[in-house]
Amino acid sequence: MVNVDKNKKTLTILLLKGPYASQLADYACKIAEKAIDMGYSVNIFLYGDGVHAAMKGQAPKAFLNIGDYLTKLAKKGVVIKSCQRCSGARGYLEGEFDAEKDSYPSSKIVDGVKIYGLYGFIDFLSKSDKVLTFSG
Amino acid sequence: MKSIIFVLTKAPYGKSESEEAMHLVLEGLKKGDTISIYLLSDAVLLAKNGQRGRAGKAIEEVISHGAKVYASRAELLSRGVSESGIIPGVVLPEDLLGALVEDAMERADSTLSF
Repeated sequence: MVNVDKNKKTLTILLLKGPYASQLADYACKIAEKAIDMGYSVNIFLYGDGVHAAMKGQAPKAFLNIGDYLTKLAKKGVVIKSCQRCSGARGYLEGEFDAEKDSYPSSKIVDGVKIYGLYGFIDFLSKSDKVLTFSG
Repeated sequence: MKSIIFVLTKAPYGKSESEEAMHLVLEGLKKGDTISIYLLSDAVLLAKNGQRGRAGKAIEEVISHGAKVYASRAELLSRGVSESGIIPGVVLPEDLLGALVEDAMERADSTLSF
């Protein structure tokens, strides 16, 4: 998973804003894609309203579909985790941690995103060379 | 003496972030830090020339003190600012995000977002 190649540097992106209200989710995704295409390991952690970026069924007319973008990034190898408490508060959570799926269960988020406790972010931090935050 | 990247995403005058970032940049430059500033989203408006507000003037000042300032050409154009309308010294790289990623991963000691 993370840091398979020990020489490969890791970038973690922390996103605290939902899509379609600002460009921050777009930038988080675009930078993640750029970094993984350049050969870095990349993590994204969705926190606060950032968890809305992973909502299933997004259908924006004029904007980049951020849900689809996250699924595409996950397929490219970006590790994406979404905060459990933030997801629960916003109605995405459907039960207790599922060790087999390595995620809290939710049918309401896009493929490729896992719901984790905040320790998931601490784990990212401990394995990251750099962190970029998109908030405000 | 550190190498620090500032990533700015907010418009210069509706919020305080840009100005706060500029204060930190100036302090860093005084200490001898190497500083790169990346203007994304509405923060590209910081690069517009002729500003009388403090944030815009601070961009000229930090460039004169050696900070590198990068902005997105496409974002400037979408806001009606052409290349002739930007503060001299602001760089518009072809691949801004690639430059940011490489700078962050290979050169910077730390990154700060505002």
